[in-house]
Amino acid sequence: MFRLALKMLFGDSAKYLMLVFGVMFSTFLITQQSSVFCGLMLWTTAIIKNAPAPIWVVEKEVKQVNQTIAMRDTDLGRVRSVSGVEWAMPIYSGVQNVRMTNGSLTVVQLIGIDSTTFAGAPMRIIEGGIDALRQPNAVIVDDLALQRLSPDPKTPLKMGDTFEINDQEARIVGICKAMRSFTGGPFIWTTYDRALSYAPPQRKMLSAILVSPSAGHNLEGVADAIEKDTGLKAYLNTGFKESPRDFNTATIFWFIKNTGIPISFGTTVIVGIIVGMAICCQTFYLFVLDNLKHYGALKAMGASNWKLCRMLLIQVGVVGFVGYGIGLFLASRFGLFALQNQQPPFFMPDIIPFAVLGVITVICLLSSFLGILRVSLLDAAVVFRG
Amino acid sequence: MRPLCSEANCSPMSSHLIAAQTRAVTKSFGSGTSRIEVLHEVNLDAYESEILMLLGPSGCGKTTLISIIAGTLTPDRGEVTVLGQELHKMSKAAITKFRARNVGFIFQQFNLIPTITCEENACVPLLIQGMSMSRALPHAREMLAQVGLQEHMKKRPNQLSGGQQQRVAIARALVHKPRLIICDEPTAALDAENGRMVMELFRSLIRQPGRCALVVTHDHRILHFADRIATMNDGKIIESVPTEEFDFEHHQ
Repeated sequence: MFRLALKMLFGDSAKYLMLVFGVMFSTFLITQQSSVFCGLMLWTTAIIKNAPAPIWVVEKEVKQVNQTIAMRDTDLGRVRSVSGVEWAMPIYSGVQNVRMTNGSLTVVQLIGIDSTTFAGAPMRIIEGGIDALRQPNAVIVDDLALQRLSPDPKTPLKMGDTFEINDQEARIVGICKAMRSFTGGPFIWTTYDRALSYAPPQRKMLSAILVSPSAGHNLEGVADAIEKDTGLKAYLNTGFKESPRDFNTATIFWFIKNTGIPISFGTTVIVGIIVGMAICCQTFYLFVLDNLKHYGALKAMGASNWKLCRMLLIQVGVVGFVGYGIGLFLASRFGLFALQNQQPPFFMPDIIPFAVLGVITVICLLSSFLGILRVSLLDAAVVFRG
Repeated sequence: MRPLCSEANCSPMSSHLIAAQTRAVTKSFGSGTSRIEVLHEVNLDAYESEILMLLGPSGCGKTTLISIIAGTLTPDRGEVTVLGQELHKMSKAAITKFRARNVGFIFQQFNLIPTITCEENACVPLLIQGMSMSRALPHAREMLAQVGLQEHMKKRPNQLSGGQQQRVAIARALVHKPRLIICDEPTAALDAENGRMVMELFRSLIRQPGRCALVVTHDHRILHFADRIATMNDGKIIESVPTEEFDFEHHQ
């Protein structure tokens, strides 16, 4: 009967393709939008990822990493004096203007790190070395900067090239791989002191303090001690939802609560579900109606409601499986394209394919429900009524 | 099972075993003022090894009666016994199983599934009984060969003429060797020549011990293929006679 069900399904190629299209559309849209949303949320934490440290100490009113409320330089010494702190290093983080050789401006995320320990240095340097930052006007840029800071995108910048940050010269001494920032600008690392000279002077310039706990002290305990002794806010860098005071989690939830981003993406996801459901429910019900006399004949010949129900479930299941597969494949291709081009943001956590599979299963079950109801209530004697 | 017939409209073929029997079967549709009684206490006996044709004007209850005998409809009142089983006492699920094993159907519009081949269509009753397609196909091919369609097994129904499609339907109705065949206007969609050929084939295949065919028809040209003809009017059987005693001229 399963083979029969499949042949009935494949035989009506127009409806079969329409059904597959509906499921594929839903799968693609939900997966793609969810992944772009996750990617965008991940980008909001790019500074934490690109300048890694176990503990980030910031001004007490700071709610997320992109929010910079400068602290006094003396706060660095206060943090260093807290019991359990192995080391504490200053970091400058701010958006600055870069003037390219053709005179046009572009924004960058400038990171200033301690020139002795290089705490907060990029993780994956692909050209040059971190020690070169000690040279005059030296900066390390991410690979995006090579394109973005070049007047001609076809001829990207290279090692040794220079540009201006707020009218002061900067020379590329290293190239690294880095996560894209939420603002879309490339990352530029330099020493803390030089970063302060690049940035317009202000009374307070210290963006954050990177801290590592001493051996034998746990992160939570040290963070608690810092907050208690200094009145500053100490966030951990443990990974999303790993800890209630994780900076990544705080940042992502701040964006979810305070921006329209989730509503925008959520609306698109809901549209994907509704459109997929509408196409699938309508087309599958039409498919059932078209084949009603055959289901009636099967029923008259002794096929039970359960057997017919299984036929319908097999039909809708195959449609769901094929549509989901194609949709996920297309979303993955989109993701690959996005990752290769470094935009748009794309991050597909393991949960997304499973969640989408759940949504598609619900769509398929709802689609088959009307058909199953129709066939179950079908009077077998209907086949004798012409 | 011995014949229980005692009504005037029952068959004189009392020496045969009864395949299907109705006693005081009543069926109505609708409710309240729109309620219509389609069958009024109908008594009918259909015997093994016979072709019984049900004749009568449209709306007289022929289709309702064969639907009840086939177990696709339940009567409001009365008793229905088919192949020794009292359908009126059985559950719906039991009747469905009984129908799958013992009843073959030939429909007016053939009701072949257009997206599968003829041999797959002929397999359907065996698939319903739980047989796999690979095991069912040889039976279907054998049956299709018997109806003269060995050249067309791989074709889809829409590639065949009306007569050929009805032959596929006959193969499908007989593939699981049912003891009761229910035919609803089997020649209504066919021209005279095809109708005659189909009925000749049908009769030759149906003629097996223990097998009974109930045929509803309007087509007077095929009445001579019957062993017995029952005439219905206004929800009652008004006559049930052997074909040789049937007054063809009166019913023209």
